[in-house]
Amino acid sequence: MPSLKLFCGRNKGFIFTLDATIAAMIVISTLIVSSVYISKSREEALPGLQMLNVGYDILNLMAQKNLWNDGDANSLIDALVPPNYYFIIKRQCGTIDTIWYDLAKDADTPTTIPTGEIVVTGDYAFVKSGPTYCRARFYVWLK
Amino acid sequence: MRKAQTGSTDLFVAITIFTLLFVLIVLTWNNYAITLNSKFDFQEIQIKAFHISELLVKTAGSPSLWEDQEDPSRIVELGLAKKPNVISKEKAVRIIDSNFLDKEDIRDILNINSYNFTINITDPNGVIKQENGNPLSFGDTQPTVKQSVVIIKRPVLYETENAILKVVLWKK
Repeated sequence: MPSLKLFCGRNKGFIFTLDATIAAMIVISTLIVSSVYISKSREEALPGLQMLNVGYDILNLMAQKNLWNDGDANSLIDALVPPNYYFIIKRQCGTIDTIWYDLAKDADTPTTIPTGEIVVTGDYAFVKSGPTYCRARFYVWLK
Repeated sequence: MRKAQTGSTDLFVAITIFTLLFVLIVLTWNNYAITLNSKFDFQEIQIKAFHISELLVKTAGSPSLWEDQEDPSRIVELGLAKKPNVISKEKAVRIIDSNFLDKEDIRDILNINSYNFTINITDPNGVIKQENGNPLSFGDTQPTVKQSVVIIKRPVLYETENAILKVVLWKK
């Protein structure tokens, strides 16, 4: 009868232990990756909702105060938008092809909207005297 | 090394690794359960807080002139707005009147019996506004111990002035 040594050599135990070690590494990596995702998912909901609400609240207030035309919108934004947010409002009146232009912006707000981070945006339709149909779009993101 | 000895060393190492992994998985499972539960609790508080802020900021309540009622039990919903995002002074003054509504009445109407809350109206700098010498603030004292607390700030007009309505909500 051939000995075990012929089939497995002298390192049979080592082979099984290596196998177990690889399995252990896979289990541990899975646990680490899943715990990273579980801890991350907690953080995401509130800031997005808060930014969305702030955006719509500001547009609502501008509508209440009829601030679509003048620079007073800036003072409203300065006063009420939390200091840790960047906030831009763009407005478009007339046809769908009309160019959007910045209506209100903090002095330190970047002129372009970032592409590599979460930016919350929403639209608000309103009618100006004339009547002219307009819509305003806000962009909010974290500083 | 003999065959039997090799086999038992291998078995010993395998059992040790299995035991360590088993303990690790049990501990991690337990930790996940705690984390997920606290996450669901926190999300529930967030949703409640958003609903409350939305209700107060966007609606007049039901009946819409609830501030004129003599009997607070006839109030179905609480709202502070006379227009969306514009807080009515009459409603704000009435809601802080503890002779009319105490915090337990407000808790019942808002259906947040398992939560503590604080609601106040501040100026943009965070200073609580006053009306007839009374602060526009009602509810419980905020917790001093470490606890999951949700704070929602909504930009509003208090009559014609810029203001912030702040809702703070936490589990009892």
